[in-house]
Amino acid sequence: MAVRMLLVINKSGGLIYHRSFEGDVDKGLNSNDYLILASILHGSFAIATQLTPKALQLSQSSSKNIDYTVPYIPYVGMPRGRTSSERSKYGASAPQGKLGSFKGDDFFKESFQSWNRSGVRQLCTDQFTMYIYQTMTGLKFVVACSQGTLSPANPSSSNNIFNIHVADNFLRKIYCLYSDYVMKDPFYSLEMPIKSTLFDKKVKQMVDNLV
Amino acid sequence: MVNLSSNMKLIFDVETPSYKQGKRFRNTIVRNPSVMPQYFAIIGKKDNPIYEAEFTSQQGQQGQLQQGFQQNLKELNAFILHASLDIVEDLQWQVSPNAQHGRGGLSGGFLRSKNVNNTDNCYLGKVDHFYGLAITAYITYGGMKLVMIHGGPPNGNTQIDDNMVKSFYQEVHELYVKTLMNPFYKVNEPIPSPAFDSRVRALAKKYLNR
Amino acid sequence: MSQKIILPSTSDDGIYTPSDGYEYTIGPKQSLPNEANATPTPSRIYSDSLMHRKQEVSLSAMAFLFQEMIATIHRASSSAQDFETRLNGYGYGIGTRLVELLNLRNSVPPNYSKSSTSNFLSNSSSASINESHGSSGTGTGTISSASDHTHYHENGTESLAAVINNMRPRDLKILDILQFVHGTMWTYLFGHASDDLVKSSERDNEYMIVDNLPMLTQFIPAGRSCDYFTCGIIQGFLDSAEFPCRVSAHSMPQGELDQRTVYLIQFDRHVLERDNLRFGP
Repeated sequence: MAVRMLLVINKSGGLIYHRSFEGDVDKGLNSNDYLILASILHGSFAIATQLTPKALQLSQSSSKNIDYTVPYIPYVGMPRGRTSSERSKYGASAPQGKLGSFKGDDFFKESFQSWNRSGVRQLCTDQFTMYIYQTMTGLKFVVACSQGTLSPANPSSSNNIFNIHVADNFLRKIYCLYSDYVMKDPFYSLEMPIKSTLFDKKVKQMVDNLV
Repeated sequence: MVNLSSNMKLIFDVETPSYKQGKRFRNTIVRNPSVMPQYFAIIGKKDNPIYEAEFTSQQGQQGQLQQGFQQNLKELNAFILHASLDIVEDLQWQVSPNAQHGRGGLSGGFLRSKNVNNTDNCYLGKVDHFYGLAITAYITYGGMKLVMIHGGPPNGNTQIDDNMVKSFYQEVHELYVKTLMNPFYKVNEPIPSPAFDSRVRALAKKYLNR
Repeated sequence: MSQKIILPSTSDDGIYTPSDGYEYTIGPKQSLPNEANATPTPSRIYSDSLMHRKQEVSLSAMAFLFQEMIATIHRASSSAQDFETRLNGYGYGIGTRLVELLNLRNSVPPNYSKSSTSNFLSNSSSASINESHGSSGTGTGTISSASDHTHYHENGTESLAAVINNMRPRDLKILDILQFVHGTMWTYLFGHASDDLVKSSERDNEYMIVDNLPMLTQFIPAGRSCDYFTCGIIQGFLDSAEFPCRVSAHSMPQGELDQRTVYLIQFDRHVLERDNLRFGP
């Protein structure tokens, strides 16, 4: 199991959702610790530009047109065993609205722009690797996993750029779930902790699909 | 009948403030057998009228005055029309209200006009008659009753062209549905729209006063 | 009904006062000479066609609108009961309109138009869209892109009634009208027929319509039932077709379908009596 923890941090640094997928990981961390952790992440994310070595900054600014496009990686976090032939077979019989308001068998099928242009995208330690996906509005989705990669098809991938892209794809799908099951919940108020059981369930499904 | 109507008239005269009288120009009526007047109303769920109109002939030449109901009887139109609603409501729940004519003895069967033989249970055909006036009816899916009194020649039977009348009802039905699509219109409210009125009259001219 | 006499349902603004009867002192409005020949009063409502045009509305847009609706009602209502009643009322008006609209559309011969299936999330009943057949409400517009079998009145209005030979029979039996709700209305609203239609084995006036994944409320976590909107639509539909009833929504998860919702329809006693009387027990 790769994914150990998922956090959603709102634009002002407040933790609005956290969930760990391994029982023993968060021993000793209470909810207050999580709030602090989220704030620290948010803060260090914001000053990440300042932490970047000067040489790197210079080289970045000299090359004006850096490509922030993240390629689409098919079916990250979608049910396994769906080859194209199987998909066409089940496509018709699949219950409608399975992906909420998204049509087709995947949430999106095109490459997209990363809005995380000056912050941390990946944080590697001996114990875990953390990926951060930032949306246009400043919402941050953070996933921590035990190994270096989230890709189920390619578990020992050492291609770091590829790993980041897989994580971005995965977190963008979590964002899609958020847009459906959190933003369309009439009883949710913005910037407040997410309590939707449906969101919980869908996130769990998606994480399980990564196995 | 004449006595009744003059009594009614009397009552109205008592009840009506004098300033309301003569508010509207009333046509002088001379009967011409070839063109018959009609009185049409849409009756709502609570037997309340939501629209009424009288169609008189447009073809009056000079000297041949416009056609309409007899002046002293026309106030009775609403009564005559409402008197037939019981029959309409009985037919409303019959599987094929139009299939019964020819089988005499069944309720209302002898009143049916001919030439109606289909499964259509919206158009009920001729449901009632009253001293030479024929009454046809139509029920919409939402239970609105479209009812019409067809005036006729003084001593003859009123002939109804079912196909034309049915087409008229269907068109009015469609207009009614369009009215209903107006978010500011509530079911069972009177329809005061001049646009509706002018279209109904155009349909009446097209289908009824050929 | 109130005891007020009597109002003209004539269309003369001058004498129109809100009431609910006839105005005998005035009588129905008469035809004036040459009136029928005049151009009809322009009106978008009456010149647009009722024919369905396939036009999908995004589920997201609908969900956001619905969400805002729920939030507004929720703020305004004092109790759960109140909330449900209000939400029901929002749907009721839609139901009463759908009775007429869907039945009329179903009367149109199937070969009249290819796009005979429709979808509420794909178009609303309003007469707001009329790009292709443009008389622009003036009543004198010319017809540009009409297909062969499109019928127009003289004033340029497309008429459905003109192509209908026989109107669809009104539904008289409980089962018939429920089939219509289960099939046609559900398809119009949600793009698919409802998943089941069941008669209660315990009480003979109770029927159930089952939806495994309610389209509008699928993003709303369990806890407070927002399905009363759909209940309102069903109730408005049946009430209007003179099958008075009460409708309530119940969440009944089954297996993997944990958002399965059952709409319980309880008909008034006299509906059953009428059914028995007319069609035998």
